[in-house]
Amino acid sequence: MTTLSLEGRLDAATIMAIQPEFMEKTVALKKPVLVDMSQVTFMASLCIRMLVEAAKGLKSSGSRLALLRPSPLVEKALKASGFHLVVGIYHDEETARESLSGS
Amino acid sequence: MAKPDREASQPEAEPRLCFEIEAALKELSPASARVRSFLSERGVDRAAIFAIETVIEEIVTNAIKYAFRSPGKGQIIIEAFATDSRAELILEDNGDAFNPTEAPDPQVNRSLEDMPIGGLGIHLVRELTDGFDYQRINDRNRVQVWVHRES
Repeated sequence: MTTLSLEGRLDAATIMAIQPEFMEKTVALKKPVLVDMSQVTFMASLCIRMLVEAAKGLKSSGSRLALLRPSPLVEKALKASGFHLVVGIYHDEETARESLSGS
Repeated sequence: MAKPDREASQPEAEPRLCFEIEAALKELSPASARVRSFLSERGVDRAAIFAIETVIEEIVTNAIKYAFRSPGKGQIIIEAFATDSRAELILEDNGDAFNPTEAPDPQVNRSLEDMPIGGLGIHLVRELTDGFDYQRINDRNRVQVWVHRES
């Protein structure tokens, strides 16, 4: 399982800069991925798009992605986008790891 | 060339922050910081400010993508103010006509395979704000949004 953190203000310019590395550290490894979102202060739709693309890429190799501890405001944006309907969002790390352990 | 900034009280009007930026992604973070600081100083709650920042991010990104054929040549005027009940934002640009309120809403309640990767920005604006208007005035796009304040 891969665990990594996203931090700070994830606006469009930031996502365009980090997306290649994020994909290398998630989709390319073909292992379950837990993304710690607790230090994210702002998230643009391009960030949601990056996470969806990563989740799709992982699913095609039989793995999954989950998010851990987004702030209430970030989680509100995620839910407004429908992201929570297709990717797990957890506030307890043990539960998140258990959900990914089978993938 | 940016116009002089102004942040001044007018008789019987709330203080407004008004400034101009180039239509470029690098302008977004400092522009959002200015609006965040201005609204925060007026006691606007974090949820309303988060929504206003989302609007700046998504509407300006769309303007760069659709309203300006030559990157970096467009100008966008950002105006923010707060009343007792709500925070408001007006974005005005000199690009080609583009009405974001008419952009189709993506279907977001699908499987992961069918989850849309485009069109989420305007959807977020609709979901996070309480009012979302567009006008084409004097060959300029004018988007106005407002968000009810919790504080």
